[in-house]
Amino acid sequence: MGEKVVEARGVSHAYVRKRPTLKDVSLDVAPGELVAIVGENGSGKTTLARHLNALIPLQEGELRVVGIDVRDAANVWELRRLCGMVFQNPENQFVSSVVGEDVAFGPKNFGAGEKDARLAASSALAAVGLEGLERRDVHALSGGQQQRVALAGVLASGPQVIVLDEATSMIDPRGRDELVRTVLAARSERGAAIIWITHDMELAARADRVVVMREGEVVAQGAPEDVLTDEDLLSSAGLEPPLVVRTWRVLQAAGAVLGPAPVTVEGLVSALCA
Amino acid sequence: MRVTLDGVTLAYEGAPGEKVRALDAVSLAVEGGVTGVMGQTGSGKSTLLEVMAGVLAPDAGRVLVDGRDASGGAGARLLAASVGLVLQLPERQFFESTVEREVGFGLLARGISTREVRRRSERALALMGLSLDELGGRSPFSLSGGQQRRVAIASVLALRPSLLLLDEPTAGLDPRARRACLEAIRAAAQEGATVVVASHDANALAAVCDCVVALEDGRVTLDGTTRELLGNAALMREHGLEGACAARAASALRRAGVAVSGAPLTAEELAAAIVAGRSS
Repeated sequence: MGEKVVEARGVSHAYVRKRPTLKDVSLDVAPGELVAIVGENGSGKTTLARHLNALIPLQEGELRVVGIDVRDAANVWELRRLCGMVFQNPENQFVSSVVGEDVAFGPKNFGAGEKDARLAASSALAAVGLEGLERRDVHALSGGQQQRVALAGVLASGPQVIVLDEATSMIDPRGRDELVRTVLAARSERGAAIIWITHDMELAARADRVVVMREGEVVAQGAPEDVLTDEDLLSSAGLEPPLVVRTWRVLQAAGAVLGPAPVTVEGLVSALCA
Repeated sequence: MRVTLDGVTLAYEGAPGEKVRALDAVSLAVEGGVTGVMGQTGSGKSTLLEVMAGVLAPDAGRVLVDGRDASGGAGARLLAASVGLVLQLPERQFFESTVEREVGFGLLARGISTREVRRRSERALALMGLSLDELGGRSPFSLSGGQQRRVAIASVLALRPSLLLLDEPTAGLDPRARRACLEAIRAAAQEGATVVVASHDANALAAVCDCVVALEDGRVTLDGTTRELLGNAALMREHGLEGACAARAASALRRAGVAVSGAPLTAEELAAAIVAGRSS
């Protein structure tokens, strides 16, 4: 199965003529892959993400998501069913203030009957650890719970690609950890590919692949061990390596350690215990 | 400026007829430097800042500014003239047509000359890593998210408040904007302002704060120096919070049997603690 769930070729975009926000972006994502996209504000991460389910019309290049050409207007709802998004601010993405209704909105909107939509909603709420909260007011939930309701709304539609755009930046550490756990479970249980746009380098370090964007271009992509240890690359993109990498560099300079820098705390522990 | 909260309690109505206690007998004092306020969503951080700013009046207890009761008279006037409050997502409150007018608005309202307004706006924007010449004529709504946040913070810094209160100033900022924001917070404290920052971001607080308080269900549960709290990942975890990344790594190393001394807050301190642990 060499099928890709995202195939972008030479995608370019400009909101204002001659001020491109995306320049010739090519990117493949495999089924079940966890891809982190990092870059400064204004580097084009969100614009790229919004192309994936045709929230922004494609101006130039080719883009297929789960086999659907994003220009194919007849399939735009199927595209949005298969590629769901969770945004930064939980409060901005609810269509109903009642948890169960909000989560059922997606399946209903994509043509499911009332009963099937409710079943899909209940099962998605269980998947995010919020079973039984169907009748609660979304605004009475914590930020982390709200983001999981948003994620349940995406899961209820049976997506193959889930895009999270800065989805953890407004919630507390406990909420963030819950969301990360839930997303990783959705990936392993449903095989959905995850595209995680983030400023959090500790989070990016846990991805299969890290994509670095700068001024609308993909300037590098690869395993976290390669990308997040390349200080020159990161600094040219206005980014910093994770704390673990910075610590390793200090230890290396002091002659205290040898070998490639780990990128996660777990990696640091095993490198120092070896 | 010295701000003292003495047994401050405040409740608001959640569901009809149901009172939610946002602050519960909170007593603390801040004077100079940067104080961090940690706590989970709903723990009362934002309410605490709003009480300190005089935006919300406590149901019980007192707020004192430089020893004067802030609930009325001279104390209330002193607080109103001294405080700068940066709310969460301050960029949502933009209303002017250009960045220059947005940043200068509060100063002009205070009757300061246009020349002085321009000078102070320029300086405040520069502190946040932005240029008035470059952005002054643009609509604040046309800026990127990170630029908008920095313009919003600059518009408060331009007032040179002696009490600067910021709610989640770094949320969603990229590393460069975040660094500029943290440096501006430090600079304000160095110029003598009393600064209070509420945030989930343990690393940001570790970088700027002299001391930290933690709230849980409206009560102060921890109160100490930045190192005592954010350097102690195990203690923070016990309270459902997070220590600085270096402290969390140190704690993970200790659990794996690697000797690591002290309470590191930065990569450099963590490396030094690992080296020291080996030679001991």
